Parts: sequence; C-alpha cells; structure tokens
Amino acid sequence: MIELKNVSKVYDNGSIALDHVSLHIGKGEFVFVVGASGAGKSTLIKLLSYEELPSRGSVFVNGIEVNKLAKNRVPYLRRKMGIVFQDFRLLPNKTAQENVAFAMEVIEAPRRLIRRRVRDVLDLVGLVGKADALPKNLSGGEQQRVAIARAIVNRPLLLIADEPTGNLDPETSRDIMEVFKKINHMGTTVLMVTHDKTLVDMMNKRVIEIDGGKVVRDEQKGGYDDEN
Amino acid sequence: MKIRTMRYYMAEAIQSFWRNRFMSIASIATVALSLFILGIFLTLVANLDYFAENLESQVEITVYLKDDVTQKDIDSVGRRLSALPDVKSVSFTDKDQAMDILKDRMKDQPGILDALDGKNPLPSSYEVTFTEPEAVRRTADIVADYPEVEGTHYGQEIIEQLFQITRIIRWGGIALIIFLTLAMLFIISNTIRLTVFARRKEIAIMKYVGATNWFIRWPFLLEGLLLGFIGGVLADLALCQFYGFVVTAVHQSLAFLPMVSVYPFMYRTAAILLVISMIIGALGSTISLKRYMKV
Repeated sequence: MIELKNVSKVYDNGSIALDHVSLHIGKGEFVFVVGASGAGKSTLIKLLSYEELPSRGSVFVNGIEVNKLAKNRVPYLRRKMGIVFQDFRLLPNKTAQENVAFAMEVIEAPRRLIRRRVRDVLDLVGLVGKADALPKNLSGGEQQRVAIARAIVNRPLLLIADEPTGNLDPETSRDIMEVFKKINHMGTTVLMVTHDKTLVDMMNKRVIEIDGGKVVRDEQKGGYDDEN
Repeated sequence: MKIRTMRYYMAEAIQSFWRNRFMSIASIATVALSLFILGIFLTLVANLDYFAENLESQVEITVYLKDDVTQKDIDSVGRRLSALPDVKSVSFTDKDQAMDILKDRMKDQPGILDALDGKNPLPSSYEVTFTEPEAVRRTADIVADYPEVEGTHYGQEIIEQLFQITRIIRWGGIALIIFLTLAMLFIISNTIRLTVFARRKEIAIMKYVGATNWFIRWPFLLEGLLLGFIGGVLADLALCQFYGFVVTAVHQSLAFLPMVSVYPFMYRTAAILLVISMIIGALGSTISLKRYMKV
C-alpha cells in the first residue's frame, strides 16, 4: 500500500525532516507512527498526499509513484486516501451529514449514491441520531466521528490520521480508536500518527518510531516505548 | 460538466457575491465607470476618424474671389478653372446667393445675422469638383496664385490638423486605458481574494478529499466574470444613453458636423466593452487564485 524508498526531505530553510527513510506498509495494515514533535511524522504524511515532495527517493502509494505524479492527477490520488486531523476541520455552517456529503459532492458523485453512503458511514461511526446537528452542537468526540465519516465516505484504500485523539479525553479517545479498528477490519489500511502512549500500548499494532528524521524502530505488535 | 455541478458553481458565485456585497458593488462600479470612460474614448476616436474620412472624400475646392473683382474677372477665372486637368465641374455662387444660403442655415437663430447691419461680408466663390482626389491639393496650389483669388478652402487641409489631434487623443487614451485596466484588475482581484479567504477552510477540505483544481476554481472565476459582466452591462447602458444624447444635441446645434450614427456603432462598441469586462473579470480572479489559493 505504502512504500518509501530511501526518502529524504530537506526543507528550504535547511532543516532535515526525513533522512534516508525506507519502509513498507502492506494492504490492510494498522500502523502507528510515533516520535517526538518535529521528528518528521507530519512530513511523512505530507509526502503521501503530495503536499510536499521528497528531496530524494521515491514514495509509492497503491503502486503509484507519488513524487512523479502529474499535478492534475493529484486529486485522483487523494481520492484514494482519507485524512483525519487533530482539529477535525469541519465546516461550521454545515450539518454533520452535509459535512460528510460535501466530500462526495466535490468529486461529483451521483446524488443517490451520496445519500446512501452518507447514511451508511454515519451509522458506522455511530452518529445517525446527530445527522442534522451543526458541529458547534456536537462534542469533540462526535465532531471527530464526523471527520472520520467524511474521510471514509469516498471509500479510500488508505486512512491517514494525524493525532486524531490529540484534542480528546482518554475515554472518548478509546471510543474513537474502536471506530478506526472497525474501519481497518473492513479492509482499509490505517496509518496513525500519535503521541498517545496508552492507545498505542492498548492496540498492540505495528509501531514505527521516527527520531531525527530516521526510522529508529519498526516492530509488529509494539508498544509506544521501546520496551526491549 | 454536469448540470448539478454548474448549478453548484453558480450558487457558490452568487453567494460569495452577496456575502461581500459592498466589495462587489465597489468592483462593479469601478468596472462600469472605467469601461464607460473607455467607451467615450472609443466613440471619440471613431468620430474623429469618421470626420476625417468624410473630409477626405470631399473632392471639392471652394475658391473665394476678392471683393473688388469685375464680372470680366469672374468669367475669366471660371474659364481658367474649367481648363485645369481632372476638373469635373465648376459652379459659381455670388455673394448674394451665399448670403441667402447662410440666412437659410441660421433661420433658427435670426438674431445673429442682425449684427451684420445689412452688410454682406461674404465673398463670391467657385465650387470646383474633381474626378481624382489627388488633384485637389495640386489644383488648390495653382489657383491660390491667381490675382483675382482671395483664398482657397478644401477638406484635406483640416485633415492634417485632425490627424494630429487624433494621434494625441489615441495615445492619451491608451495611457488611460492601461491605468483603468490596472484599477479594474486590482479591485476585482481584491474582491475575489476576500471570497477565497472566506472559503479557505472549504478549499483546504476540497483539496484533501480530491476535488479537481478546476472544480475549486470555477466558482471564483464565475464570480469574477459576474462582477465584470454586470459592470460591463451598466457601462454599455450608460454609454448608449450618453452617446444618443450627444448625437441628438450635436444634430440640433451643429448640424453640419458629421457624426457616426448611434446604431449599429453602439452595438459593436457595447460588445467590445462587454468582452473586455469579462476578460478583466476572469483575469482578476485568476490573479487572486494564483496568489492565494495555490491549487
């Protein structure tokens, strides 16, 4: 699903965000990316979605070499991935279901399909009763569920989550993780950047730790810290 | 493109228009005013050209005779004029006839001629027409040397001065047009920038979920086109009214001045202005999109 070959990223100001990183993430995997702030985690995500281009090396997503993609193909790459952010990024003047539908409308999906899919994903994230609520009337956890619903409504192969529980309390975070687990079970690859030690330890999934732009640990069924 | 998508674009454009209605109105006013001024220049230049063309096509000289000439001199001049090459016709107007013509032309303002106190200051004259326009100047030079002749008058003399004026107006017009175009671009791109800013969250989300760049751009382009179009229509309406009024006024007081008739000239000018307005609208939004959206 994701393959990085000897990828380095040096920003214009000279700071090295990634330093010769190679890694492979298979279809259907659930992977945590951990590391201190500024370790290069966000850069990794940006390389996958063509927000940034690598200075060296190649990035593959679903067999496509992202760094060689023509600019006008980028939107189609992004349709294959859903992205969830720490700050939810919902449109405040749209209801929960309008926020989700928006993601389909802007890629010109047929109206009937939109209606059906929106209902399905709201059901999946457990928000059917709140479909007509505006974001300001939803709790943080509920808002993040809307954001997740929006990220998966176009049936992406890859779900990227950048600190999705960063603004949520521990209990809500656990509920949100259940949603991600469910989505992963349905076959979507999940790549989650997080600082939340408890969650990582609880989930017992593959953990990739980045420090100073290098992969310093990559273990299956790992914990947040290197326990060995 | 789907109809639903087009409806979406239109709805977005109109909504933005309304949300920034003060800036929108300021943009429209700027476009309308600028294009109106531009239109006046186009009209002015067209009329000067028309006037020049009119004079050029007059293959005719008026030869004014001195006041003290005898009938014998008059006849002699007439014979010599007829003998010149390329002359088509020679016709004589004596000073009394000239007065009658003037009286007839001034019949709306009888007071003016009272000032003459019954005297007739008008000279007798010959009207000479030619078969070749090139013969006009040559003949005028020859005839001016006749001892009986006071002076000659022909259209091409004025044309040269007219061209000078037209040239000045053209260059002034071009400078003004550049300035006005920049003003229009500036205000439209600023208006669109506000819209882009108001929608930056939506734009970011649209990009993340894979909306194409054109899908994101269209509503802004439409908004720019709309601002330009409305401004253009207003300018057109104002210009048609204005020019219609001017032509009527000129016909009433300066009937001899040739003017380009209002239609179809105004159709063409209006179309030009409208096209310019929309190009500027689209260009103005493109500038904003390039600088502030990075799609």
